[in-house]
Amino acid sequence: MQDPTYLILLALSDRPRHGYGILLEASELSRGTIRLGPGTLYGALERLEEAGHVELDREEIEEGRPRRYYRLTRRGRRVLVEETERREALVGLAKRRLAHR
Amino acid sequence: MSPLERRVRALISLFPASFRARWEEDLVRTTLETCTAEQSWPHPRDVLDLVLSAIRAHATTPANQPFRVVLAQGIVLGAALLASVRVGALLLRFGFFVHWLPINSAAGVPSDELALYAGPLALELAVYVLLAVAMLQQRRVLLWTGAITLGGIGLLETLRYPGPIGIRWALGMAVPGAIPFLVAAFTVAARKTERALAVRPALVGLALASFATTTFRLAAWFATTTWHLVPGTIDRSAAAVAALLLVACTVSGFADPRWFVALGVAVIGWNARDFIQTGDPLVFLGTAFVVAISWVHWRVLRRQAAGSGRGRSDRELA
Repeated sequence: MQDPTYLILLALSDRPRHGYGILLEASELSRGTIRLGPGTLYGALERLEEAGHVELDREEIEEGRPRRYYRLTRRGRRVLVEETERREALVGLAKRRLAHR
Repeated sequence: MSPLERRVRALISLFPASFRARWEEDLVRTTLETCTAEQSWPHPRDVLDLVLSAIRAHATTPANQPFRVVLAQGIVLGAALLASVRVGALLLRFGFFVHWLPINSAAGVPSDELALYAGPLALELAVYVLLAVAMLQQRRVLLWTGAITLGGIGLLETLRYPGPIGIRWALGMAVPGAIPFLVAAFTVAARKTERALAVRPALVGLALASFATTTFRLAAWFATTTWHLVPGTIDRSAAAVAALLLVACTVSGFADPRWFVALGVAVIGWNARDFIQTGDPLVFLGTAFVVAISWVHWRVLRRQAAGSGRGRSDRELA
């Protein structure tokens, strides 16, 4: 899983968010080091929805336009946990190796 | 609609139709929210992100639609591709005409003879612009008017070569004359299938194709005259490179099958003239090769589609 996809799943892990909310949260989570573009976000959302990791939560009308909120599915949460464990294991491995030097 | 929103929507129109059907409004809204009130354009970084994402979406969206739809869209694109190459050739001829105009005038070529050469060129170019506008605006009457005018110009060109020796040449010239009819007929056919062809991104791509072929012709002419190459050397090398790229695309599974149908149509159309006029077997073999590769690619994609059930485009547009 690539960093943008991981950040999107992570941004949705506490509550449903709309597109711009995901962008802001992803920027905050990465402390501004990764800045997602809107095209990347929706390309990823389409793939995530297709895979059943993300789904539409609700649609609200704001300023006369619909606004869609997305949420993590159960399967999406499981994938996020697995990916976090994988990354954690990798970081642990890297730390041990660097400590030996 | 603010100028900013118009620009954002123009950028987003580059995405495939099936993607836009699902995400367009949301994507417009989110992109607008990344902009401040003073901005008249999205941040250059976001513009680049949108363009790259659109290309990616085109490459990964399976055109998993009924055979006749993909075929009709492929043929429109192929005919339009041919038209864009033709426009490139016309632009180049017009450029040469303007370049040598003072020299010709100084050499005493009568001005009405020069006008006889430049007039049809300018007219044909203008009608191609009209055809593009008609496709964009989906004006059927305008489309047919443009096609018939261009077809008429093509017919007039065939009449310029009378006599038995000229018949082959004249028949060959009828091919470019038939292109606009193909564009018009299949644009209408593709629309009738109720799955809109993404005309705007296709036109952007074709404008680029036109520019690329013009540049290529100019470079080929320059290289041939500078290094005294055998005429046709550059064309054959370029064809070989293109064939390799085609094989690479097929093997890696990259690209939309519509573009392969389009390429097949364009190559057949483009080479038909050459083949009729010269009877060169290499042209025939090259064409057969491209068509065969397109067909293989098409078969592979069909099998993949059958394996994965109904595609995303179908479901979304249903």
